[in-house]
Amino acid sequence: MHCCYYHTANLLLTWRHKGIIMSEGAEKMDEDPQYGGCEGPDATYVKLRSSDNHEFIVKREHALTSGTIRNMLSGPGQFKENETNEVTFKEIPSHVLQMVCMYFTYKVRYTNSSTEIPDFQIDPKVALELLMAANFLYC
Amino acid sequence: MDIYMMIRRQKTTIFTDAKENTSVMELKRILEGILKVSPENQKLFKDETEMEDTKTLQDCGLTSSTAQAHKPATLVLCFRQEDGEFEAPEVVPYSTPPELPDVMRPQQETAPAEQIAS
Repeated sequence: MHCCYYHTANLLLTWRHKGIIMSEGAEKMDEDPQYGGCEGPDATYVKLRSSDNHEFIVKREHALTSGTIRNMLSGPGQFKENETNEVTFKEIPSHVLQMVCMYFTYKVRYTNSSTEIPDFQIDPKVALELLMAANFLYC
Repeated sequence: MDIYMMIRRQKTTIFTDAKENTSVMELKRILEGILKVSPENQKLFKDETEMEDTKTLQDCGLTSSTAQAHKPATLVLCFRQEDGEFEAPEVVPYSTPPELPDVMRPQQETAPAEQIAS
């Protein structure tokens, strides 16, 4: 009897890992053809989704510039994002998330760099929303 | 030298970088790893010019001055459809920022919810 429960639990864990069972809260965004580059805990890339459903695929190392994303992706496994390597921002529109991604690249490229660091241009129209996003993302 | 690009297709944008002398074919292989579409079924466009597999990114006009980390160059990606023909290059534009108020702050922003993993 005992081994029966264990076997079922084991199956459930496997199924959940394969995304067959949906966990509460977060929805699984992609269907079966999973992005190879975005799979598993050591994936090179992660997917960031904006409020208007634009997907931004960036290198995992870049996305970890943000403290919030770092926590989401590498916290204890209860975050669905940890498994699918996908984070959805329901409050960040795509034009802001685009600038955020460019900032990630800029930061990683020029941190500890001896070359001359160019300015990061920010359009005043976007500045306020970008500030709020940066506050949320802790970066 | 590294060059930085945004590769866009409909509602997807991929931020990646590569060396100037990387071939277009190599870039398609990188995209294959991310999007699981083989290079034969991918077409890359820079400014409406198709990028040939044998050319390098530098040959296509991507240099370290035109494709910087904070100002990446934009390339458009198309997949081959089921009927064998390639889809038309299509990119869904991003949202537009609201108009700048004169001096007053806009009042509609929602407070972002903070999630912190313990």
